[in-house]
Amino acid sequence: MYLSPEFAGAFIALFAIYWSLQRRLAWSNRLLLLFSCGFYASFGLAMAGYMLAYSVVVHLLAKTICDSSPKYRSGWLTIGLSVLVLNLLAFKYYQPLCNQLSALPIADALWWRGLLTLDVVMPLGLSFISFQAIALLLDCHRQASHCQKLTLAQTATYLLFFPTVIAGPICRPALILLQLRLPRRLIDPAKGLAWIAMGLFKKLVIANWLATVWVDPMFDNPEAFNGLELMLGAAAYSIQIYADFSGLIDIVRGLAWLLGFNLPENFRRPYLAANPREFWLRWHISLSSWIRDFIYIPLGGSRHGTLRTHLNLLLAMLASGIWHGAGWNYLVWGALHGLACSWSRIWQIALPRPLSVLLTFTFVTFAWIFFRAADLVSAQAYLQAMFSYSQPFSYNLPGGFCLLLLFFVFHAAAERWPDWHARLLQALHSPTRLAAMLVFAWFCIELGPSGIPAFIYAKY
Amino acid sequence: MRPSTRLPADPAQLLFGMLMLGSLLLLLKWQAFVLYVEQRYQFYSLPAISLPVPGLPGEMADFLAAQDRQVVAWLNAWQGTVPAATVQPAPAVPSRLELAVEAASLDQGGERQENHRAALALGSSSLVLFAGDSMMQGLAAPMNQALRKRKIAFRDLSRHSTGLAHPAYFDWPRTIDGELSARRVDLLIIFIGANDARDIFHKGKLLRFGSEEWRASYAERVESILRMAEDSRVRIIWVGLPPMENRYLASKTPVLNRIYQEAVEQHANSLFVASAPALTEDGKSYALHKKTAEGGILRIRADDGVHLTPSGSRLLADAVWSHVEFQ
Repeated sequence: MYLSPEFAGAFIALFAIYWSLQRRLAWSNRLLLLFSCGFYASFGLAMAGYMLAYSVVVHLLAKTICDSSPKYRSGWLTIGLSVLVLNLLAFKYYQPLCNQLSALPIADALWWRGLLTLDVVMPLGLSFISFQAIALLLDCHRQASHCQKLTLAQTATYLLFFPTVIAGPICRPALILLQLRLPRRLIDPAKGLAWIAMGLFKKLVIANWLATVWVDPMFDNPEAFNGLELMLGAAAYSIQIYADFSGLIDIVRGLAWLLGFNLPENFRRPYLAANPREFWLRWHISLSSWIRDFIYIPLGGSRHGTLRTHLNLLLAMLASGIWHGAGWNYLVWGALHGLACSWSRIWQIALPRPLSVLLTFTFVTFAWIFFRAADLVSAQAYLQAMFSYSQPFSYNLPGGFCLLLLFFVFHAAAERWPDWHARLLQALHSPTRLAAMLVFAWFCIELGPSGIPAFIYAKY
Repeated sequence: MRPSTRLPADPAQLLFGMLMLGSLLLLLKWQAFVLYVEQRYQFYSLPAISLPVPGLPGEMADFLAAQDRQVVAWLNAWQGTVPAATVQPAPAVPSRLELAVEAASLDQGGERQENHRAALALGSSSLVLFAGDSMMQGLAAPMNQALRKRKIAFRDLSRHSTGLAHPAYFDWPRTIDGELSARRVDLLIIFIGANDARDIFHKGKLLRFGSEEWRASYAERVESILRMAEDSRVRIIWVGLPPMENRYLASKTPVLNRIYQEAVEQHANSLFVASAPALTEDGKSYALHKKTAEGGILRIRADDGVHLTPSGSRLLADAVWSHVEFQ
């Protein structure tokens, strides 16, 4: 993916040709589309073909909604949303549902048993692409200015934009379409490089080390560890998933920045939130704002009384859980956050902020156990083992707690890191700058895993 | 006046910087790049350039590890628990289990497997080691669950994209040797080979898959693992590769399975478990689905025609566990 030598070589070639076409906006956009299609095709030609066809369908729906009279516009929107939602549900849940039905004793006797054995492969990034497509159709319905004179190439580029296609951030149509239509310049490239450097460090060093040393051994075999170690292991996963996902977002923001695109921020120091509602204003911001705007508010939001507000909140968070996967553990994770968000609306207890932050982090870590576990049974096993203290210690617990504290110190300064890195790069002379970046990259690769590591959120 | 050192917004200069950075990084990590290309593309013609590049200082890692061990020892002393590292090693005299295995090796034909099944027993103090590639990563999940239920400890070493054919990328014999030296393992389960249907580059020579030299070289690697386990009194279950849909692999997996089976049969402490009976309808041909005894249909192979689905992994796990007695 983004960390492979093949991608690095291809991106440098793209960079060279792209900026040589700087004065020819149409050609640089075509190059961007071609590269995005090629990037997607590297995961499978059939998948890429399907997504191109998908882009054509979305574009036709968008144009139809835009051009139809007000009388028929809502009807077309309903058709369009149904197609997109059914497509996503089919790919995401068909296989798990068929697996459940196939196991039934009557399965072999069913006349439609052939449907149960269909081989359905979900296209990469479909969850993210679908949400972007839905946002586009809704913008077309309200006749947003950026949807006027929409071309097929623009629709396809918006949906398949290579920095965001795998794991977001989920971009609103206006953000990408307007940037596609305006001439782009390379401004402050140090910032882009700083983002990429930070992302590499978070992914290759922090996330990988935590996964290999703490998280995977503990979640694989929780009964072998002391309860205190497992508590720290759960906290380690909280940091791992943050470093993994925010590291990926940093890398894609940096890549897009080097091409003149500004992508939205997706994390804002989430573990400094003082309550679960605030956590969702800081974590995976593009997803939580999408769910707020396209699920919570259409359901009625907070406009229909207290009980309905809490129900809407719960449904929205359940949708977030289901979006991540078809397992019961994701549903429980979503439900926990839904209940916690409702609870924090009701109980506005005035606590010192550090205590609120600690309690929120504890709750979020507890919920992550369900997210990380393979299924509900494994989550239950982990939780049970967390309250057993008879096992001998295998880990340096005081050292682990110190690292946790250190994480919070760095986390508090997280927003400033890109600016500091960029200013440091700018302050250095060219040879020193090159040497510093070389040493840093070499250091990340030395401490990172062998082979090309996968990103956690790429599977959603 | 000192010239400005701001990073230029000129794409050409930035491109030059990226090319320089990429080239220098490639030079520094050339060996790793060569291994990556060999593993991924089976291309062995890149020159091996050996540069005196220092790695990260090992002394720092050793110092930190020593500090960790001291703190862990202090924690266990405070709690009054005995850490895993000080568990008593296996006794020097043959145990009842080992004598049973020895007796079983004298039997001929089908009786050997029955007696070996009786000898392959796991209890709550046992340790099971899983080794292999991504196929093992899938198989290990249901196998771990069965062990977890019985509170039997395990370690999963499985690692995707590995095999025995390319030790420069990942050395399984050395990894297993390290594990067997560090802890008392009772059972080692190996499921490997999906990445080994390829030519081997051995001592500067390319050995074509299936040739006599290739078979001898590969068999020696299998043999080294079996010998290690035998010397450490560890039982081995070697799981054979299932039939593959992929035509390239389909013709090669029987060659690999034959090597595994022939090598395993020379060692009394090891057992070869073929996966075809559990994962096919007719005992030999690739099957995407399998009918259950209750009338259901299970999807057992993944869309790549190689890996197993969770249902397929569970079927194979049951087949492997049928050779083990849980006490």
